[in-house]
Amino acid sequence: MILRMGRNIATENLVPGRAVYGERLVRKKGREYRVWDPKRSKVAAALMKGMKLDFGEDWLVLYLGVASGTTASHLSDIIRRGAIFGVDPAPRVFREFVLLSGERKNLVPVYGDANHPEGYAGIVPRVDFIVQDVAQPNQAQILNKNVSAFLKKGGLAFVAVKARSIDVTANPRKVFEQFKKELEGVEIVQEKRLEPFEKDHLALLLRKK
Amino acid sequence: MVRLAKTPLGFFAVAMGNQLVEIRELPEDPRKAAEELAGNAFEKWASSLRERGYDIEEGWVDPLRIAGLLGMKRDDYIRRAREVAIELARLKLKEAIGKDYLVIQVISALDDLNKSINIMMNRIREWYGLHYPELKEEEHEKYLKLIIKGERKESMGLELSEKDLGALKEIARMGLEMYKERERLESYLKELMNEVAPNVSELAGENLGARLIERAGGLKQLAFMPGSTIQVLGAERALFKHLQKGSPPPKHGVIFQHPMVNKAPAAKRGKLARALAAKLAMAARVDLYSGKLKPEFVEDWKKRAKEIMEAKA
Repeated sequence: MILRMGRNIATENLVPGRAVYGERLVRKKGREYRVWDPKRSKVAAALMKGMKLDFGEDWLVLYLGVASGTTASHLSDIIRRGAIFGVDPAPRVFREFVLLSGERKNLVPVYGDANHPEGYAGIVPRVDFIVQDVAQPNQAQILNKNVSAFLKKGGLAFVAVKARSIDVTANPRKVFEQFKKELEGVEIVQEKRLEPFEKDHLALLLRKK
Repeated sequence: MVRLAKTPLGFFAVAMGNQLVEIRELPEDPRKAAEELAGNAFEKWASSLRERGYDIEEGWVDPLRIAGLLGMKRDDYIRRAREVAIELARLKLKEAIGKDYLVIQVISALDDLNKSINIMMNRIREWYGLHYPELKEEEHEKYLKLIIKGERKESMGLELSEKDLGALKEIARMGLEMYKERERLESYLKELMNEVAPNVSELAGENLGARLIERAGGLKQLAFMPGSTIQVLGAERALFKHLQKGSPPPKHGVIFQHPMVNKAPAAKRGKLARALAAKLAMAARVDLYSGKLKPEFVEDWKKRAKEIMEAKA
């Protein structure tokens, strides 16, 4: 599903011939792959830093902070028989994601605010996996709400914590410790700092208890 | 006790987690279904249930479970949810992007145009300077007009043929055209601002008001900002330096462009900037939600500014 090629990783293109955001397409053994840039995707950065994540091909995913869908497009390659519900409140970037959803049958665009899960609770089902990349000061609370509402017991959550979005003045390590303390109902499975791809970012893989 | 669910499959009242006791279907057509989901059809339906005596409890029902109760497969649910979600997102995006986004484009176009004018003028002055180095005209627009007129006294510059001069005059005409375009854009920006944000325009002037909307990323974003953030919009570097290294905090960002702020003595500027920013925060909210001009903002601000100016330091 995820191809390792030297210093890069790539995902098998669900829509052969189409690049989503100008990424490189490569052919290998008759299949087409899209190069997944760790500088543009925190999930890719975490995988490059050695995070182990066994995606299920039929997962249902809730993606908070999907933006224009750069990372979601790669997840869409991986989770071929599942679906990704992508949530974002910013109209300009979300427009791109709506267009992308038109091309990929496993993407469901949900224009809404992750602070208010009740706004999309009628469309998002219980999911196997949550991705959160929201860069908000209250991102721990946002995650807690969504984990308790939508994540299956035993389900996984990937979170990118951006220290500077939570508190610019504090030491990132302290911000990360504080963030972990605020998490509810989950255990930490893995954690990776994302340097050199992102500065002062921590990626966490959580499991719902 | 029933729980209500507003799903792409329809509206449902669910009892005991697995009995669909009431169903309100949505149109088959995803576009029409999305329109009903975006409107108040669900609220109307819910209150009709309440009138009929249903006891409604808070709580979530997994839409996929409802699909299962209807005999739908998971993939069928995803297909339907996606079709409706795309239409719903399109509807909401249409509403989300307002004319404030035009303001951002126009003021950014003006920035680009000003940069282009400066680049062109440097080139033109150097070019025409070969031919007529004695010409001392500081104002760019007048300089361009003099090139086109072509009057030249005895000069130590390079002699040019009609053909050489022709190429230069063409560029000078384009330069003048850019000045005209700048004027047109500025008056368009004024009209736009008075339509989009009349109260902010009245307080700050159209240019500064547009600059604030641009910095905030939209009128809604500006309206949701506290005055203290508006005060330092455009002074982000100084602000973060203050927060991280403890240097003095910035007194003002782009708000400094306001004549009552920048003409005031240095000791008063911070106070004025703070008072103005607080008024602008309120003005932006009125612009967002009512869009009607309220002259009291300007009166209040002038009164407050007078107090600050007259207070002993």
